[in-house]
Amino acid sequence: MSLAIVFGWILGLLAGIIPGIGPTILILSTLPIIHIFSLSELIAFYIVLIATSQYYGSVVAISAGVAGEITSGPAVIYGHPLLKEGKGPEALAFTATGSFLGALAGIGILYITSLFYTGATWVYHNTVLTTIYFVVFIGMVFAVSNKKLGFVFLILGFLIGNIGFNPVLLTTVGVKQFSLFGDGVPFYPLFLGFIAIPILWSYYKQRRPVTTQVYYPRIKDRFNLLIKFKFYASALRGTLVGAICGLIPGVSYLISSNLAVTFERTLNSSSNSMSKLISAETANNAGAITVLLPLIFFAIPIVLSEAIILNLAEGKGLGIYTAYSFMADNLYWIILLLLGVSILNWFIAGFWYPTVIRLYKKISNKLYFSATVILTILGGVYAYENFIVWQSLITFALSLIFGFAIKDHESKFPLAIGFFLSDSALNEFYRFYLINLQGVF
Amino acid sequence: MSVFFSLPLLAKDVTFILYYPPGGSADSHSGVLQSLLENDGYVVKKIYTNTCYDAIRIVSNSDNAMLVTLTGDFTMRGTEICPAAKGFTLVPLTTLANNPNMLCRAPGSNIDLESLRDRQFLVGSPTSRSNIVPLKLLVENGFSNFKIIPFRGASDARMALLSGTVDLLYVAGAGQAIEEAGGKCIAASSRENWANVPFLGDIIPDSSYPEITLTTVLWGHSKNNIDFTKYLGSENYKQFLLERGLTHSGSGIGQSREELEAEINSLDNLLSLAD
Repeated sequence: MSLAIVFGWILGLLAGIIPGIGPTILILSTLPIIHIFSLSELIAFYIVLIATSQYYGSVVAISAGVAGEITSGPAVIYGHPLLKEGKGPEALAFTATGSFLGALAGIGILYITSLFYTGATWVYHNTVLTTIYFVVFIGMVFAVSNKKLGFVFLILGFLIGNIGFNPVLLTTVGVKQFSLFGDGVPFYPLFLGFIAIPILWSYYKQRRPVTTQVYYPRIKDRFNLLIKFKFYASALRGTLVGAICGLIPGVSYLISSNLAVTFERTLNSSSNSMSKLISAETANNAGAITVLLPLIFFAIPIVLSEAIILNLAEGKGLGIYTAYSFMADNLYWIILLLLGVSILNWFIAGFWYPTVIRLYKKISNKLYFSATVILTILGGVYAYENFIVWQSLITFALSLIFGFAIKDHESKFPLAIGFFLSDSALNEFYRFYLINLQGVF
Repeated sequence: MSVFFSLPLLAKDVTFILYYPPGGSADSHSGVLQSLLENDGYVVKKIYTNTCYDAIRIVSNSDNAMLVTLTGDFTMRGTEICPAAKGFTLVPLTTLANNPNMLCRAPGSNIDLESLRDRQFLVGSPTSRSNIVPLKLLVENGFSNFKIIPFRGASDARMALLSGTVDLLYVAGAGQAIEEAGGKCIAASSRENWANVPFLGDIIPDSSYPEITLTTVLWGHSKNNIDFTKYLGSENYKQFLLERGLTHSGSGIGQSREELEAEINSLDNLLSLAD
C-alpha cells in the first residue's frame, strides 16, 4: 500500500511540474506498473495522484511563468507577474494555503456524501446514466480547441472500443470470432502509439523556457507566510466554484480555475491579482477532490483518467454494486489519506518550494526521450504478460504511424474517452432505445 | 511487470477468472471457496474480465488459473457467450452452488402474481443462457407483456431494479439482496427455492415449462490437483449454502468428473431445446 501511495504522490508531483504531462498521460503511461496493484492500492494511488497534481502546477506557473498543469493558466497570468513584483514568496505560500483549504473543503464534502450515498440509487437509472455519458462525451469534445477533430476522434474511439464481443448485445462487432482481435483492440499499445509517445517526442524536441530567478526568504519568514493567510473570502468563493465544477462530467476541475477567476472578478469589487490567484487555486483543489465522488461512491467515471482507473478497478472487483461495500469498508482510511497528503503538499508547495523549483530546473528534454524508450519497453512486457503480443505489435505500429501524422495532440484525447466508455455507454444507449424508443420509429 | 512483482512460483498460488461483474452469483460462490483456500495457505487472486473469451484466453495460458462460469454459458461444445476454439483443453472441475432464478419486484412496488399480466413490464435479466433462455420461454408462454432489458450481470441488473429502470428482475444471485433492500421476490424458476414462492411453471398455461436452476461451475486444467471435496464438503461451506438457501451437487458430495459432465450436458440440452 505504501508503495502505491508514494508512487501516486511522485506522479502527482511530476504531473504538476512537467509542462504538458498531466495525470491522464502518466496513468496511461504507467499502466503496466499500476495494473498489478490491488484494488485498495489502485484507489489510493489514484486519489493521491489527483489530490497532489494540483499543488505543484502553480509552483512552476508562478516561478517560471509556465503552466505546469492544464489548470494552472490563472497562476501564470496572475502569479508570475506577482513574482516579478517581488511578491513571489507570498504568492507561493498563500496559493499553497488556499489549495489546502480547498482540499479540506473537498474532503468535508466527501465525508458528507458518505452519509447519504447509500440511498442514491437513482444515479443508476438508465436515463441518468445515458445523460452522464452524453455530457462526458460532449464535455471532452468541448474541452479541446479543435472541436471538429475532437468529435471525429471521439467517434473513432467509440467504434474501436466496441470491436470484439459485446456481452449485452451478444454479438461480435467488427471482427470474426476467434480472430486475432476477437477480444477487442488492446488499449495500452493503442494509446502508447497514438497519444503518449508522440506527445513525449514533441516535448523532447521543444526548447524549454528559462526560469525567472526566485527570491527565497529565510525559513522563519517562509513559515510565517504559510500561516499568515488572509484571503479567506476568496478561498471560499473558489471552493464553491471548484467543488461544483468538479462534479461536471467531461470537463470537471479542468474549467474550475478559470471560472473561479471570473466569479472573483465579478463578486469581489476589490479583487486583485493575489485574490484571483488564490480563488483559482482553491477551486482547483476543491474540484480535484469532488471529481472523485462519482467514481469512488458509485463506480461512475466522469473524466478520462477515472475511466482508465475504473477499467483497471473493474478487473479487481470494483463494480456498481461493490462500490457501496468498498466505500463502507474503506472510507476512513481514504479520508485520512487525503488529509495527510493535503497537509504534506501544503507544506512542500508553500514552504519547501525551493526544492520543487530546483527539481523543475533539473528536468531536461532528455527526460522525455528516456520516458519514450522506457514506455516502449513497458509496453512489450505488458503485452507478453497478458498474452497479446501480436495484437499489441500490430496495434502499436498502426497507432504510432497515425499518432505522429496527426500533430494536434490535444484533440486526440476524446478518442481515449470514447474508447474506455464505449461498451458501457453503448449498452446504456441500447437499453435507452429498448425502453423509450423501440416501436416508436 | 507481474513477472517482477509477484512470481507465480508457489504451488499454492491460484487465480479465479470471472467474466461477470463483481457482486453476482459467480462472485459470491467463488468468494467462499476463496476464503476456504486462503485459510488453508493458498494465495488466491481474482480477476474480472470483460468477456468470457478474454477469460478463456487467460486461463488457457495460466496453469494455476480457474474459470468461474455459469452452466449454460460454458459447455463442452462452447456457446455464443463462451466459445470453445480449436485446441480447447479446459475441463470442468466441480460445481460450486445451485440457485434458482427469482422474479423480483423493486422496493415500493406492488406487482404480484395476480397483476403480472396487467400491463407491459420491463424485466431486467443478465444475458447468461441460464437467465435469458427461461425468461424468453416465459415471454413465449403467456407473458408477452414482458419486455426483456438485458444486462451484463446480476449486480448491474440489481441496481437497475433499485433505481427504477426496470419493473421486475429475473436473476439468481441477487434475490436476497433485493429483499434486504425492501423488494420482494414473487416467483422462482424451480419449486425448491429459498423464498418459498410459487414455481413459474405452475402459473403459466404450458405445464411443460422446465425447472431450471443456475449453477456456478469451475473450469480449469486436467492436471489441477486441488482437493475440492475437502473444501466444498466442509462444515463452513455447508453453512454458507444453508444461509443462502443454496444447494450443491459437485465435489463436496462426491460427484465424479463424468457425473459433472453429464450434469453440464443435460442443462445445455435443456437450454438448447428451450431456446
